[in-house]
Amino acid sequence: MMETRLLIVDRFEGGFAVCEQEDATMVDVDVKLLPQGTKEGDVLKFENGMYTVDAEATAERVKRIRQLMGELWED
Amino acid sequence: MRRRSIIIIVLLLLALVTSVGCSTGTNVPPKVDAPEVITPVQEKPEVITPVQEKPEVITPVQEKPVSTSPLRVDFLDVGQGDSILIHTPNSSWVLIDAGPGSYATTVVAYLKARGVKTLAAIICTHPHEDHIGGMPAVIKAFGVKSVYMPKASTTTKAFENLLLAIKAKGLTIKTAAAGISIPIDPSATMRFLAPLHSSYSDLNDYSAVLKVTHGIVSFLFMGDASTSVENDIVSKNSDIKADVLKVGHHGSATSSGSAFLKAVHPTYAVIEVGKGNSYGHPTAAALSRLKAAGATVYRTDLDGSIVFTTNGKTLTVNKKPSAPPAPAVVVPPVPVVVTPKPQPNTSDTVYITRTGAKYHRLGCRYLSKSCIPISRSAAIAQGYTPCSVCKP
Repeated sequence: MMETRLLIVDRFEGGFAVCEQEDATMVDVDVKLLPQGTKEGDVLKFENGMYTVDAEATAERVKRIRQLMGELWED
Repeated sequence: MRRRSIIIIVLLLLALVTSVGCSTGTNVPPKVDAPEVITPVQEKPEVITPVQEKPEVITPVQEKPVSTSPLRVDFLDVGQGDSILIHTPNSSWVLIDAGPGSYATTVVAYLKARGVKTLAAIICTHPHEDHIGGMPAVIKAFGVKSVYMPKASTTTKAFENLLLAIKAKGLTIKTAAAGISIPIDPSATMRFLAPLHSSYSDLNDYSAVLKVTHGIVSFLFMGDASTSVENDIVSKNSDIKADVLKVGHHGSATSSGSAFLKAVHPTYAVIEVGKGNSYGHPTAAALSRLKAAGATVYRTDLDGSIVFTTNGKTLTVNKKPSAPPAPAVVVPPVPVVVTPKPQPNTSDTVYITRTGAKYHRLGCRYLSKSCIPISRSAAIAQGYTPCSVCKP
């Protein structure tokens, strides 16, 4: 069986979601394969040939990056 | 008596004078001759002296081009992504975006070949990987004085790595927003025209749009801003005319609107776009609107890196820069034998199984048993055919 993979939606280009893989390389995923309403920045879980949005992992990354931004922004 | 003695003295003197002219046996003449022989020898070092002074004469000449040096803008060929290097008349360097992560080494090598040591400013137009992916490597490789970014957030490791690289260097981030100027060179004004709002639904629309003016020549760098932002810029600025336009969003149909192009009226339009990209960039729609606006279009996928130079009055274009990026290793999307690692041109990666004869998109249901990344060209070369379900 295939192992679970995590991807992050970087952006949408035409009919593709351009996703960042765990090794930081990019891959195009047909938006038709993704759940309705998938947004930029969503963490996707690929399991048993299906994509789902991992809301918990997404929220965790949003929080971590917001904190980092708060440290670095001048205003 | 006196007269006689005077005559004798005169005669004696005459005899003495005439003997000087023809005799070499006396002591006096050789003494006179000798210094005359030495004199030219002494003059020789004096001839050398001005030769030694020559390098000193060159020094002020070398200083002159620094004070009158042109503004140079390099549009780097970074495949499907943006990277623009600006060299200002007072010799400051500014980098707008650094291409995708797969081109990081290309960008660093290009900057080194141009002689960059310290970047006075880096601008990350918006946090998409095809614009910021190469930036952490740039921040690590060069000195950086200031960082400008729109206040936009995403969750990718590319963005996190950018923030961590900024943090590791002890830098802070200045907000790029309409009305903010970059005070680096009084003879090259740099002013942001966008973002105009603090919130947008699409990260592309946060794009930091920069106008750079030197004398009467100006450049407009659009990032990935869409037509709604373009129209917003037109309505809030009386003059957005520019000689060179960095076309928004790689020539996608959702940028480069006719009204905007009419207001900018660019002589040249540059599209930073990857050869054979899977997004259809640049689109026929954007190209035809640019043509209708009268712009001469340059594309990094066809022309490679493109260099503009201006003295503030005239503009020259060079498609073959004198300091080209050396590493051709990253650039060619050559068909490669099966490799577990995806190729730099990830948009052209497909997936095969151990036993099947078809190639697939990631996520296709036929990939449940095995999922081996391979470049599309290699898959085709090995006889694989596209899956009829996921239509890769």
